[in-house]
Amino acid sequence: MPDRFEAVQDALLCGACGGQQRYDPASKGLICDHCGARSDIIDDHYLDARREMAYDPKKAEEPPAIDHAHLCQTCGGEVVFVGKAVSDRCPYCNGPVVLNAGHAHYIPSGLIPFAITQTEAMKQLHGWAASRVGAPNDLLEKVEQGDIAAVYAPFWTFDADKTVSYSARKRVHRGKKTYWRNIKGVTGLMLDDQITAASDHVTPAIRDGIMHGFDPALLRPYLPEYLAGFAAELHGTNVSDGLGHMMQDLEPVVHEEIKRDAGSRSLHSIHYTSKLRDVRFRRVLLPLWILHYRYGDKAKRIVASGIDGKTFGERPFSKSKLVGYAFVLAVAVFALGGVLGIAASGG
Amino acid sequence: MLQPLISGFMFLGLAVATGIYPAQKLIRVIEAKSEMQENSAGRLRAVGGWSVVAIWAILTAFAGSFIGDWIYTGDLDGATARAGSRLELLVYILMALAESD
Repeated sequence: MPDRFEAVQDALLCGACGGQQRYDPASKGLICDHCGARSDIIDDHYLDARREMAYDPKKAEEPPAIDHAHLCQTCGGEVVFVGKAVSDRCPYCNGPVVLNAGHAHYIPSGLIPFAITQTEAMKQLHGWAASRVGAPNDLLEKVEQGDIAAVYAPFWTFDADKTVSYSARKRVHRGKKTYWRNIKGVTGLMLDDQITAASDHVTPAIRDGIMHGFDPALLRPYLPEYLAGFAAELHGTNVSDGLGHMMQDLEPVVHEEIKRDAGSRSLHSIHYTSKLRDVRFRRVLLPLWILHYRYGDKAKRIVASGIDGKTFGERPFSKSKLVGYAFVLAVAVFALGGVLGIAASGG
Repeated sequence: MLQPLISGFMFLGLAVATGIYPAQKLIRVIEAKSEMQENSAGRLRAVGGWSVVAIWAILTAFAGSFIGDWIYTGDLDGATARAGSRLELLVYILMALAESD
């Protein structure tokens, strides 16, 4: 029995020649691979994709839908291809994928379609690699040999009021004496469209490197037309799991807020509990261009946002360049110290 | 005159050898500050540990000040005594740096 992704196959066939259509980021419409005919995507009559849903922890969540997906043999990632499978490689790790029935996932409330073409993304990705300070000389060459993949990755956006009750030890100076004082306090964070990855394949570092803020105005309804020609990973976990990930991810932000509230950066033994109120969420898909390359025996990746091309990724360092930088810095700092030493000796 | 110069080169060699990680950390911190979203968790994690760069620089400058003093005055005992008097301030600065990281 065909599932929903197979069922939309017919809707994605070109009206003029029957060929396969795919979403074209440049024209923001569907384009036929065979005859080049272009058609618009009409999505005005769908629910507003910007709407947020209230989270009630006492209310049971809807069970996930079951469809087929392509399962990666290397990293275990599951991606779906709407229409035809665009690749036999995993967009996250470049490993081989096989068709797998029984993929449990939740339906996203919206997505931001790709606005950056593959050519534009390549330019951004290569530019990022070329601008790395302290990178090996052949890094760009290795990156140019890499494979690029496009994927809609699953994210949550959360709005919430977070109350943080904390205790800590604060360093206090009185005259020449320094001692530690136990303090307690309550502070809060207003979370507005806090983006949390719903995929283990998107690390917080990559997210914060490529997603500088989130503009809900760019959200469109979750329609197969936008996914045509791209891989997509759908949400495999429920809202409670998403909130758990967000709380864990926000730990350094909470620590910063506690230091700000306590009026000191010299805090030790920070303990806190937090409560969330008025939680609202969206399940959204965001577009990513991922470039896989190998340096030495290590697989690395650079990711560009499919929204505006912001780029971040993994990079190697050249040991000889690092030694060179350490030498220059050491000579400069050592010489400065030498001058200060001469001055201190009365010279 | 030869002894403080040899000691200076040895200290400098040690500073270069121990400066490789701080140089890498400095690049990572600059990349995170210029490329990652402000106040984000990822940026705070990437910037965390920056004090290793400052601590390395201060210890290197301290060694340089001792050697500079020794070369200039030729008095090892005097240079050691003056370095000792700077040590208290140095420890205070290092503690403050480590805590504010």
